[in-house]
Amino acid sequence: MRRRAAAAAAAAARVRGHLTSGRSKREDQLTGNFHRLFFNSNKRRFLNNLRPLAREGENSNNEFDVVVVGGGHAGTEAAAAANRRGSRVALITPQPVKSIGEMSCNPSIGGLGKGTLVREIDALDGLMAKAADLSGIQFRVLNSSKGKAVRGVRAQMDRGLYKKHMQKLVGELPNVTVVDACVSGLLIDERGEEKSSSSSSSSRNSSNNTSDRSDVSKTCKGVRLEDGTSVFAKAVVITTGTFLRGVLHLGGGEKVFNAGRISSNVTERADNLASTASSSLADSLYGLNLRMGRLRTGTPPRLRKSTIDFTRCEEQKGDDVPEPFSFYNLSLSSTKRPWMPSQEQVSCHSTSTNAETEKMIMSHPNYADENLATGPRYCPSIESKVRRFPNRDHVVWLEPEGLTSDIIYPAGISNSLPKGTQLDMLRSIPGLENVEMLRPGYAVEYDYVDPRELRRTLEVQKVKGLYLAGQINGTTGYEEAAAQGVLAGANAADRDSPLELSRDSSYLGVLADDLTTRGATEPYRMFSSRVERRLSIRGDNADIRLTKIGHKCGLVSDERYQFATERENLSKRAIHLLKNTNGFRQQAKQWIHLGCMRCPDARHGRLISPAEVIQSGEEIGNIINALSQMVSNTKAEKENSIYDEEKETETALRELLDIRERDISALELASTDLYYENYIRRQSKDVSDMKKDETLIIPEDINYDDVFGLSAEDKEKLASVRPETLGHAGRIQGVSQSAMLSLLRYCQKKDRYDERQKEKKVFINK
Amino acid sequence: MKMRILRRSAEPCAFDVSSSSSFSFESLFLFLRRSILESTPPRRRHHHHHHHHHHHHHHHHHHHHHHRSLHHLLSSKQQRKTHRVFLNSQKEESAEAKKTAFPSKPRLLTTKTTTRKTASFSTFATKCSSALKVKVEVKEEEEEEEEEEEKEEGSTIYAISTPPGRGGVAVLRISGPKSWEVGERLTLTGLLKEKRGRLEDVDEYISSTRKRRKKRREMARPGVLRRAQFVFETRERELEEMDELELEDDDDEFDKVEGGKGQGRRRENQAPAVARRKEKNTIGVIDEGLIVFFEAPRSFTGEDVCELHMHGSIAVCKKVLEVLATMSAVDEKDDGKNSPTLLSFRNLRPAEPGEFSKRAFLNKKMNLVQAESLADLIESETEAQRALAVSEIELGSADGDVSYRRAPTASSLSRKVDEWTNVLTKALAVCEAVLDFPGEDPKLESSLIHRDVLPAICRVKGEIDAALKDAEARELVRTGVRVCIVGATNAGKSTLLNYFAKRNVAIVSKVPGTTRDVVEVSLELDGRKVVIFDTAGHRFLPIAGKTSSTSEIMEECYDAGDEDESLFDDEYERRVGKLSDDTKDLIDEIEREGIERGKNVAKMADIIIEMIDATNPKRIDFANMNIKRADGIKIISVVNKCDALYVLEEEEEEEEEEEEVYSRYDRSLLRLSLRTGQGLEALTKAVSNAVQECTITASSSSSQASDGATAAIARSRHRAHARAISNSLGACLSELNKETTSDDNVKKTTEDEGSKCSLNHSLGHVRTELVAEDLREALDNCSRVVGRLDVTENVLDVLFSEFCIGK
Repeated sequence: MRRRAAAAAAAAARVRGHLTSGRSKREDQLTGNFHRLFFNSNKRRFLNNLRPLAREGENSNNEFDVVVVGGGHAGTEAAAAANRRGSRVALITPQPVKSIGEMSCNPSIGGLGKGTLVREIDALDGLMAKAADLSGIQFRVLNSSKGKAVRGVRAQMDRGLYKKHMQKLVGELPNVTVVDACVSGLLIDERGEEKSSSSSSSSRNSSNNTSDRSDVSKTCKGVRLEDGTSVFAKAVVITTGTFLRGVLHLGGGEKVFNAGRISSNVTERADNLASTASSSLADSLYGLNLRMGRLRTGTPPRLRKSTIDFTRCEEQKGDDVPEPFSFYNLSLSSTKRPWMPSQEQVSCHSTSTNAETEKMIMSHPNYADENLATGPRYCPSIESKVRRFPNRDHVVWLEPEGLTSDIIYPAGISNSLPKGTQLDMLRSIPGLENVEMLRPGYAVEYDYVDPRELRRTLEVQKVKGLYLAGQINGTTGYEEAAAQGVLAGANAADRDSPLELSRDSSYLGVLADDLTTRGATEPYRMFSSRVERRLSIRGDNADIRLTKIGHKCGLVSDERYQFATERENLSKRAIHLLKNTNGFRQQAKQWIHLGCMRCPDARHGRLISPAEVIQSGEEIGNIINALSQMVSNTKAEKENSIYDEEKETETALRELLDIRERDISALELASTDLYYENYIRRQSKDVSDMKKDETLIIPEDINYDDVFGLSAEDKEKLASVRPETLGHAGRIQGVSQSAMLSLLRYCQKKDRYDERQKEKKVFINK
Repeated sequence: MKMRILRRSAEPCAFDVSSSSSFSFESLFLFLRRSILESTPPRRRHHHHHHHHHHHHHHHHHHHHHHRSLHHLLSSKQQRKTHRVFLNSQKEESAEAKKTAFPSKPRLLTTKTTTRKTASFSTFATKCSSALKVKVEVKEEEEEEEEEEEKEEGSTIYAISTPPGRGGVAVLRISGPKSWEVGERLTLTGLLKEKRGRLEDVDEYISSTRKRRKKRREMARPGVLRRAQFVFETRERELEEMDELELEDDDDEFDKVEGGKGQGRRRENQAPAVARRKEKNTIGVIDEGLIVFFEAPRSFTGEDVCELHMHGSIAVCKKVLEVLATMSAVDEKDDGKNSPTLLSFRNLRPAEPGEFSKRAFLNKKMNLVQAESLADLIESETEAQRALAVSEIELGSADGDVSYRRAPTASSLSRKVDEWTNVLTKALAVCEAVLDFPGEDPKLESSLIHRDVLPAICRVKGEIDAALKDAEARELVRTGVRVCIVGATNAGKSTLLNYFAKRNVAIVSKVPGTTRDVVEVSLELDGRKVVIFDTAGHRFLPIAGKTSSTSEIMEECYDAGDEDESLFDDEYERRVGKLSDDTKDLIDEIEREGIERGKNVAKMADIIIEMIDATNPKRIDFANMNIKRADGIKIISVVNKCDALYVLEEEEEEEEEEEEVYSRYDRSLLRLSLRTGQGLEALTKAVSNAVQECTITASSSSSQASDGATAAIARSRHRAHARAISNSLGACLSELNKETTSDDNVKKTTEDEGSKCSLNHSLGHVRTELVAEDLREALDNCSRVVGRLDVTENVLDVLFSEFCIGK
């Protein structure tokens, strides 16, 4: 039954042209042994740009513009972004057919904050949104009862489909060579400076200023593969995720493996390969004298779907009218032909733990959180949840891993308990009484590079041409990784015209700024609360915020730019109409009569414009309905006498309706912009304040010992981050106000001094 | 042998040791390892080690250098302490051995043969060096200290901290890394005490910084006032060899302020270099007084501080500053190699205004609010100002030294702001949790916002509003209450001002319109600062049916053009006498300007004294001047020249006029006669009461400021932030209340139109993000008051500790 439905959906999708090949049994095979499949039939593989590299001694040289190490979410986006800016890219990852597009943890994309990141990736013409729209099996807008600024699209993915679509998108990239290999080290050009290995290892801990400065002259020239082949490139992007010295903890300290993850289709070989390679890569990163730290993340056990009693769980359906990630899909939908996902939509379920579960968990004394590296506070293991908030039920979400997959991902109970305890615990949860555990949950500890070692372009400060993106920078989540990939890839493609996104431009800008100023003490995840300007930086206007910027630096195609501009113009026009059409104004009484309940109170029968009604929280749909009703009413009343104003009102309405037909998202955008107008205006004042600080550039060669009045603590913090602007310095955690004052004074003094020197020179020259 | 400071060697483990060294490194290694690994009390270890050490003395008399340097490697405080103990014990026990070690002077070994020691030791040393980030070298501990201090950035500043002019005492404050040395240089206290003034000792004192510093740390007890003579040195080239020394034994160190009498002395100093043999240093006495040292960080500025208490003579101050100025001039010829004989200090300069406080602020001795309050305290002229400022500073209860080391306790405003910040952070955390993690914690519901956030916001807003109301009063305490005297010309305004000032500030004459400019006098009235302004009198023109102030009429005249000008001229002539046209114009203009200024001052005043001339009873039209009692301006109306009135009263013909005064205006008008002094007391009391009234909230709360009932917001900067917080919170509340009211609205209307009941459901739309926005802005303003940052991180901390979040 389900099969047939799926096939029907696939057929429908084929008609829409989203899929070139229908989904069939092959899909099942895809989730199985992909590796074999790839070697067996070249026709079926999606990665059609997978190529071997030239062997040592062969004539053709292994030279690229950009080398991307790692084929995860960050790696693919980095390769694609660099490619969009016209670079020849090598994407090096072991077993690419297996790793590209792999969702290593939860089978979902988006969410609050994260959803906005996906939109921003799309606004910069990235891949994630496109692949997610094609593979989503449940779309939901979170916080739909709250304002648009804090909403987020989230979608359950079919793992196999996502992988397939992602590989297809990567395969279509021109000038991207996918290389199946392991990278074992970096080729660093020290520019004449001798660096003995012993000194680098002995002074690893001492972040001495002078040594830092001498390091600046390093340049990354490429990578060395495990088989000894050298691949040369102008820039290298490393996106190795959790594989840097990854240690896997299972069973409350019972078992410890050296691996970055357990892959979903248990072929340990690749992981072992990857992990060994990554640890030699880690050595090579350590050799660069970067500060590194250790973090932890966890994953829940996987369950067999057929053994779960869903009747005892609460069903959670997707939205009736799903909202896509990509602006392509969003802009092309209207009331008449709304966007529909190409895949069949399924439900999630939720259940919750109980006292029995808690007892089970507490019975196990080994408490991983105490012994392991810092894990994320927002994604705690069930052990720590129970310990920190006892005597409470904790929600467990049961998420399907795919349409045809028999695996359920139980979100909310990641743990590293022993296998037996895990099963006992699971079976105490309603609905899971007879559950079969396919794979136990585990925790992973891994190395990350302190992101304060990076510039805001994600380039390593000490090494020219070396970029880091993704979980290696201490973040967590597919979206965060992919977003960093876009940034790093775009910058690696052209170091001279960097793509720098400011804090008031985007979530991605906040992400980069937070990472490079504050570092990551726990795995960094995007929250909307991290974004001070979230009322103006929203998911629904990501294209308007970023596409222009991306287009300027060649990251976004002209076609795409046109697309965004059109949407912007439509929404601007709608705002104008809603604000300035006199005929739309009417008394509060009338608005309420026409069904707009959230109309502002207005004394003395003041006429209220639709913009005001929007500002007090009315939905745009209701307003349009009310307006059309109003216009038709007046028409009926005064059929014969057609005044100019009425004509004007009518045309305005017609125009609004036309916009709704052409791109309903533009109309929605207009209403959201109006809704937050007052607040945004206030914020823009703050932004200009911030900009002032941002324009004060701290000299790159500043020696913080020269700045009078800095405490040792401040000096250390500033020296470790080496902020680029005063505003940047102010956001470094723990840097005091007085330190800012000293810094400001120093910079001003230095400016004056420099000016005087310049004047002197001019004088002498005269 | 001359002393040389060894530069830090570039090689990480290069040892400058004597080649003849045969020291057992193993014992050292063992000892060090023990002292690192175990944390046994240092004294014991040293004792143990000492024997060891002693034992080896004859082998190699320099070996304790190794100890020192390696100790230095482990230069934690404890280690240093142990070292000192070690040295002291050594001093007692092996004085003899030491003599052989330092035959004449302490010095560094100059045999620079670098020998690598046994492998085990060098690896150990490398470990040490990498662990402690210092390079191993053999160096005298004191020298190292010296070098460290030289490296320390920051100049030494000085200034006379007492007001200029004559006085009993003048205090010179010197702050900065070199302040102690400068102080000693100025007084030669250290020198005199140390060596009782023998020439070779003086020589040694000057040449051996090492010893001096050591001694200084021991003897110049910080915070103890000592008697001293302030001296200056002049260097003269003289051909004769040396003078006879005229030094007497001195006892001029006292632990108490009182004590014996020092004597003037001449001191000669011979420079160690041969070339200088003919150079003679003469010491002259400037003054005699007290000196006190403060050691960083336990000083006002947080740096080393030295204070000289001199006699407050203009000449003494001048001379001392002169001497300091010569000290700060760096002699280019001597590039510091012979620094012991040099009088100059690098980076010594006069302090900029307020620089001591600035350094205190930068060194975290106080926060922004406290720094501001200190400025206020110094500026304070009246009791109320003092009390207000001191309530803010509150440097913490003095429970020993501990209180100095920790950050100064928050002042009452900062404490209150902290409290508000905490409450608002919690409120924002709830909002953010609802926004960012819906449904993840079952406890998280939108209803939380009404339950938790609303009351918190209400409370904080209430407190801020109360504080703001209070703030205005506090501001008045700080700046002084402005009292403005207005009235018709020749009503006696200037006479009243002179009475308040108790001197002839303003010119008084019988001619109407004598006062042209605004005359201002500051004085204290019952502990409150009051600023009294005397203004030019208003002229009243005899226009039928209309009583208006001159200024208005004048304006009208000028505006209307010619027709009324003659009227004005007539009036003027009547009063002032005939004037030439040019002069008249000029005088008109000056008077017009004077009146305009007077009006402006009156608008800004807190209290207005309206003077009414009893013989010419005209009242000021305040409404015309845009002055309203409702704005909080208090108006005291007095009728001057009452003595004349009584005369008039006696003459019954003039009853009419009197009636006019009393019938048209309040009978309770104060009656005053500046000529006889009648009613002055009552007026003073009335003004005083009004002043008290203006500042009542502040006075009441400044006395309770310690228990923090209301926050003291005295500065306009704070007020601006507080007002911004209040506004943001107001917006929050209206948003939250609107929520409830518009929901009610919806309910009402839906009740009316039952058919649209379903709409009610879809309209349950909580605008939490807007509430959060306003809360965030309020928090931003909170952090701006005391100068702290990072709202987001705090909110996330609270959020994760309050709610169970996570998928």
